[in-house]
Amino acid sequence: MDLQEIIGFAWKNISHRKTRSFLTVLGIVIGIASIVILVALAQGLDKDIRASLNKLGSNFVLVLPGQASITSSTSFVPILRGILTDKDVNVVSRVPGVDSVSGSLSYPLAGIRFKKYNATATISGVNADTYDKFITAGYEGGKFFEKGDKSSVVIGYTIANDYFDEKIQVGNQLYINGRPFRVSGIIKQVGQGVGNIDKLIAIDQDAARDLFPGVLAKDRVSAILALTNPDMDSAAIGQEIKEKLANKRKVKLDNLDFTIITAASIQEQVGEITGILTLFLGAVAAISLVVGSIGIANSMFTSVLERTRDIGILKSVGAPNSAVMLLFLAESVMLSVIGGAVGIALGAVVCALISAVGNISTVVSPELIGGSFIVAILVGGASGYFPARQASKLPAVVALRRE
Amino acid sequence: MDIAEIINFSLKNVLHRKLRSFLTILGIVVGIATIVILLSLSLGIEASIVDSVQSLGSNYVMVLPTTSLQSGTFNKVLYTKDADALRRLPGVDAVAGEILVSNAPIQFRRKITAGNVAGSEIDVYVKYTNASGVTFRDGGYFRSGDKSSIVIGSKVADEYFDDKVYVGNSILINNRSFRVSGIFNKSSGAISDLDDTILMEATALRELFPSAVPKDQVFDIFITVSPKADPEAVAKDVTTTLARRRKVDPDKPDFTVMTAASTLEQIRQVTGILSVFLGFVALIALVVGAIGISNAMFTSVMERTKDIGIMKAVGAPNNQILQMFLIESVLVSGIGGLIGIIIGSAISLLVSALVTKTVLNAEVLVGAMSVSLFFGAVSGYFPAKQASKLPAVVALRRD
Repeated sequence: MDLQEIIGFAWKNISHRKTRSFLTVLGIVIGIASIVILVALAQGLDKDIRASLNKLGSNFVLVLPGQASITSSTSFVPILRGILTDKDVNVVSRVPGVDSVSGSLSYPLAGIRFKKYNATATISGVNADTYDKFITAGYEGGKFFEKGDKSSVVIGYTIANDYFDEKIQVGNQLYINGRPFRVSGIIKQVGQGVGNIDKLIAIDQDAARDLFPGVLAKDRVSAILALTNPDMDSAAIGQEIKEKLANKRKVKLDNLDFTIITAASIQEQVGEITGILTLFLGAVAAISLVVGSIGIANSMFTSVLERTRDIGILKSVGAPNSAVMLLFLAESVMLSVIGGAVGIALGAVVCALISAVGNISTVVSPELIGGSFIVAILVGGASGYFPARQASKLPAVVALRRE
Repeated sequence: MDIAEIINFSLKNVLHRKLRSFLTILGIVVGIATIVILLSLSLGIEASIVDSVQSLGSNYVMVLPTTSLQSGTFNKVLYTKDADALRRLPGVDAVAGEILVSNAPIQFRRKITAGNVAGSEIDVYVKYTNASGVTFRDGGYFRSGDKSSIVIGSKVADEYFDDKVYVGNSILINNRSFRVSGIFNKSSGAISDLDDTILMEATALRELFPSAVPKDQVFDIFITVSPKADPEAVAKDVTTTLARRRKVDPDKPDFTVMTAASTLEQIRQVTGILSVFLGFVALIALVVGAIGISNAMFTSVMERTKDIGIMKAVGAPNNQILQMFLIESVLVSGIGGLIGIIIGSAISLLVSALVTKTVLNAEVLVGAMSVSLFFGAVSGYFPAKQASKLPAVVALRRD
């Protein structure tokens, strides 16, 4: 018996018992489709987050005081322990590959007023030169103020459009802690990410210190932003900054009192979270597939039972055990392959529907399609193995005698 | 044939094809166990959050400067006059406008760092913390009006500085010395900032940072409710009073009024969505299991076509045949459901003991059992219908 014959034989058996084969395949279809859909949803989330991160570019290193993580904030008002000073800014500026540095001051509870509307917001005191280069998203209108301009402010998209009952335009006055600032630029929408650019209210560093004496003490900064040479690896520069700062601040590398954030480290953290999500959703969906594979095994055992006589005849005309085994394995793999293919197609269609109707990103990657297909084949092989072995081990005489 | 006979007959059939029945039941077991485990996990998450909220007590109302807590930003402004307007409301015991200075420079011995410093009217704060079971690990509150003392959280005492801080020590805040009068016990609540607290009299904080806290403004407003009054009714009064003062629609206020009950309600909404989602995903596994039942039943009907013919020939009515096969499938799903619940409960208890809290309640168990019986009936219906409709002569002639 050659392979083609075996496949032909298996196909005949499958189509012979239409209802049973249909239901068995249906189980696999549902299992594979739910894996595709849930994993595609998790990957879609991953894609969305990465897309908004990419708007920030990658040639920067951010230093925050304390031990910060994008997942650690559960508080009303961010709690960052520890301080950075101008001395640290100097250390960072001397690291090779760092093009420009800005120590930034921030105060999360600043009172701001636009026309008659009062609000509370985080204001940042920055080095205009460095920040201007950091804003890669571009401007809705206007531009960054000149360095040393102590009466202008640059704001993010959310502040301009959603923060007050009226929209803010370039040229408007914004009062911070009672002092008027002219809006010199409005940054284009960035989405969630480092520093929350959409909610940025940036003024000159010295102006910020004047506004909040005591809190924004002299020579103290809330964060350090370093722009790195685009031709160099910012992660490596981040590592260098980490070592130099640890040395300067006399802390151990495994117990830092500051946090280095680079595009790579954020991507890594995001990847970790969405990776866990993907794994969890995939695992839960895989349970359906396990149940589906039990269905294949069941249907194959029934098939072996029904064809005991055929097996006897095959064996008595000289078919070796391996051929019988192959025959049934081919049948179960065929069931799961059909189920897998239909399941992937169904899953992809549902994903497209979810994206179109629900406006939720889904990503059906080639890896996902290939992976689910391989899983489907494996499931067919595994669940068909025991029934096939049972069939192949039947002695010809016993099988023939059976009714 | 009476019902006992039918059940007996079904049971025999189930037992006759041991392997097939085992695998069919296994499918249901996996599906039901998954449902039980995932739902108990999600209930466990809810329960631990609810516990931490309830540890805060219930006779308080809080006003926060945000349109919705989900937004995560506190961008609106509350005024001292807002707080004053609430003092006269019925059921209100005391009102405190709290202020907050974030990122303030603090120093203990040689170590300089930064922290969030809160200012409150200490006599009101005392009432709140007493009611919510906040306890001191050492020391206690300073006297109302004492502008040179502070109370700190356990993390501030243990982790902020190089040396541990004890009661009686002095901490420099913006270069002014404050004596630590008490240190809170570590909080059990997950959403409380208690451990990071640095608390002083509001007036002292305003003097310390005259420009950081805008005059006439407060960060949030804290209200303690008289023991006899209903916090929900007070919250409603607070909402309408503030909305009128601030000239906003009380249905769309530019502030958020929180009570223990409304906090719980919000938590339940989120965990409810989680439960529905996890339950739905687990249900998919059960659907596949039910397809397995259908499949086994169709096979069973086919194998027993001859039996059906004989039964019909001796006068068994269609509905009895239907009943027979239906009972068989419900039996399979019932056994599967039962074993699934046992295995699911065992795993969920194991998870609870070793990893994270899970909650098994009667609703989940009864619900899982009902779902499994329902799926058994649905998946058995079509095969049973097919069997009952077979004409006797056709069935007998079949090989």
